[in-house]
Amino acid sequence: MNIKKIAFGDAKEAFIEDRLTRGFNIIFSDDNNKGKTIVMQSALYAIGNEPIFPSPFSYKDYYHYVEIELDDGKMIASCRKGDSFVVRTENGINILDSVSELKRFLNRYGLIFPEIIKDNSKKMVDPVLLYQVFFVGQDKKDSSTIFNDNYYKKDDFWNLVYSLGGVGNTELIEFDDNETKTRIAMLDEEKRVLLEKNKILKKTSPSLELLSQKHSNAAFEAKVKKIETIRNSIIEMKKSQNHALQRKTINERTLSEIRSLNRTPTSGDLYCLDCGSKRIGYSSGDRAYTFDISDVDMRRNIIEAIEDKINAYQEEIDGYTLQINNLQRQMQEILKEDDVGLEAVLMYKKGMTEATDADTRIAEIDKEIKSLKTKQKTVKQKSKTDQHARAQLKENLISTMNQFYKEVDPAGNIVFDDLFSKRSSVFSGCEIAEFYLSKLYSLAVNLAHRYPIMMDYFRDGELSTEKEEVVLTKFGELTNQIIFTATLKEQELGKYSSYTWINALDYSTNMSSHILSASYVEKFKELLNPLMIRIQKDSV
Amino acid sequence: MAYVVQSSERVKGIGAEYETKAMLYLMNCREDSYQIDFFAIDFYNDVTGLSEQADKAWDVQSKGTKSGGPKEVGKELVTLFKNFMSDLEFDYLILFLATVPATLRKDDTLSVFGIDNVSERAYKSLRNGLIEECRNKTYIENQWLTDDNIDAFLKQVTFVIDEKRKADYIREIIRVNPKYIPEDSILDGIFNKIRDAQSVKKNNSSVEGEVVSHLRDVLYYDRFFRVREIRLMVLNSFINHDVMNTSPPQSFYKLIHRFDGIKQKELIEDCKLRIATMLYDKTCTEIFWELLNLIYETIDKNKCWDVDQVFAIISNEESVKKTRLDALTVQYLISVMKEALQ
Repeated sequence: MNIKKIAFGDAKEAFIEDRLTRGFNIIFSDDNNKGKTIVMQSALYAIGNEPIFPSPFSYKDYYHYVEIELDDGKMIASCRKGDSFVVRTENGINILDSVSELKRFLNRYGLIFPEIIKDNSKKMVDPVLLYQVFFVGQDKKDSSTIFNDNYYKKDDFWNLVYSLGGVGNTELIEFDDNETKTRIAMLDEEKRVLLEKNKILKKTSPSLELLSQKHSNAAFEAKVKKIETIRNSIIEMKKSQNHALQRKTINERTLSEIRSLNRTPTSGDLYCLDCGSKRIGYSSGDRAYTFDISDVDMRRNIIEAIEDKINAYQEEIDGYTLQINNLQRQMQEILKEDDVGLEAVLMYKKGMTEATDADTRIAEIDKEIKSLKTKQKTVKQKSKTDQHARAQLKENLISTMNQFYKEVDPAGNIVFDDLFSKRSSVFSGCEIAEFYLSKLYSLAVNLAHRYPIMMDYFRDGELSTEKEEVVLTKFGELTNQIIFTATLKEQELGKYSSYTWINALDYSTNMSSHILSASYVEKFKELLNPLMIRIQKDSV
Repeated sequence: MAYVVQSSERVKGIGAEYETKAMLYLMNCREDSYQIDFFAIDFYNDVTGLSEQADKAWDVQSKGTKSGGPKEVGKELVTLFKNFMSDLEFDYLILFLATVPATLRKDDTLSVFGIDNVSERAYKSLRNGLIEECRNKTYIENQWLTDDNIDAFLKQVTFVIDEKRKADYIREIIRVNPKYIPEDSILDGIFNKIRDAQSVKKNNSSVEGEVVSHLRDVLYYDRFFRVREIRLMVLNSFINHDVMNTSPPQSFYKLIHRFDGIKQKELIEDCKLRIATMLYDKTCTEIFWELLNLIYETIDKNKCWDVDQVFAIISNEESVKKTRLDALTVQYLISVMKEALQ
């Protein structure tokens, strides 16, 4: 995969980077705040990454566009705003409105998102995890874990690496367990009783009318406002969740309808009454059309696609559940605080805090039921040879990292023993750059992947010129597309132009802290035209 | 005037494949292909192409097996000779061959040629082969075997050598937007579908010994294919091969541009689901073909009409109403067909 063009902006201002080559690209400038990080983050944001943009940049207000060439030469252009994507391929335009739909679409089209086992079930990894195999951003570095460490954890990254290395563990078998079944039934019952007792939980919104008379109190008002914001977000999310559920149901209904139609109307065999032979020719009846309307292939494609959609909707629903639970927890936190001494709040709170315990319990029950249900399908232990192959891959990865590190920093005394550092010994200074460079290099070499290798601010911690020399040579030997960024000191400006194999892109002339400019707008609109996106001034 | 149907055969495997290739050759690879409206299958010969009024006929004998010398080739001509001598008039007599012996042709760059491109030595054994085979067949009368008859016959024969793969023949059937042309393995599958349907026709009630008096009489038997139904089947296989995952045409977005993005996606998904259900429903086969046929013909006749115009014309037709599809789904199908046929 190669990145061809990166662009972002709106109807008033935009930026386009279309000078990237398949080889070694370095984006540099004489100072910080020239937009290098935004370009790097925007490229992957446009294909579903969870970004870490510099905080002043309100990325959600802009369109992000990227053009990539897949390994088989097919081109994809993807444009993202918020959580909506428009993707153009050789086959046409597709609107996708969640990351899980996007990844499924890309996966079908040739950008493979491997499956790993997570929480006892198979899961197609999300962009946020996959892209870390080849991308290191500038901010929020923590050598002891992965970037965006919330849903995914270190172990998932390892599983992904194994999967990319062809030694993944993705087989599930189902087993039926009476004990689990009884436990689920018991939990269901307990939940029902709790809900019965605490009717307040069934109310969709707290009855704030009770409290509204006390609006003179500013602190109280602030609190009410906060609660309302959270409540509104919850409602919005519930709406979206119901919506996804509705679509999922429609797809499921069609699937079962289709399955029932698939039955062949005849049953039994034909045979000759005289001799019993089954070699009997079929003669078509008097029909105007000879052919069936669909063939086996078409029918299989349909079923697979619908099942895929159902999975995507389910993932969306699960995602909302997680977010809603988070918000509910926040809401409870706020209601627990004691600083508002208003009787009304207390009155309201009384019912609520009692219910809170019940609520927590119900959430726990839900969680347990879910995990029990997934546990009914348990991971099948693969043979020992595979475990051995994984250990071998891990060893190779780490030894390549150490070799690379030794070449870059012969005097250095770190010895890596994992793709992550221990939590107690986080790297600092130029060690951190060396660590991430070793990791990117080792992953590229051992997995032989074809992704572009991208590192923002690759000389983090003042990587010295001698070390940099080694880094550039080692990465230059790889056949992947490489995109690095660097901030140069005044005396270093122009240093990359002496390397013939490096495509140096100078950002020094960009306006400080404002990479967007009106001069790109026309071209930006032209880029978005084939995606049927029209941006208007008043819409921004 | 009478014509007796004789020597119809049952071919399996490779033979059947070449009969299908021969049919598709007639359908698409000749300059006069457009005049052919339907094919008689294993009736007059392996395949016989006929014009709409059956006043013009292209008679083909196909030979799928390789090897054998010019004499073998001569033997294969026997059914064509029978038709040449019959009371019915066949305008073209074609021998469709997988390969020919190396020595047969004078100019071996030609894959379509007449007897004048057959080398002298090969000509002799080819002629002998034909005469020998004629003597073996009961349906050839001995008095037909005069030098005049045989020379006149050989002058009229066209030899065609198959040079294409299955998938190539399928691609020739209909010109569509490259977006809708599937990969070769799927094209092969479509070819096999035609081949199997052709075999089913051959298994239909025996016609051995039937007497007909005009070329068009084949229509009284279930042994013919319309060019149109083959073309429609291929078009349907192209556009609906992966119906759920095919991205909708731009012209469809124009119809629903007033909705927001999420709603648009839903509308598209609904259309696709409804079409998918139709494709599965075996009781709808006929109804769906009629709908596709109607859309195809309307688009074909009025190339510059947009989706709305096409829909306005056909929406009152019985074949649209019978499908019980909603307007948007029909419009979706129209826009897909329009894009495919651009």
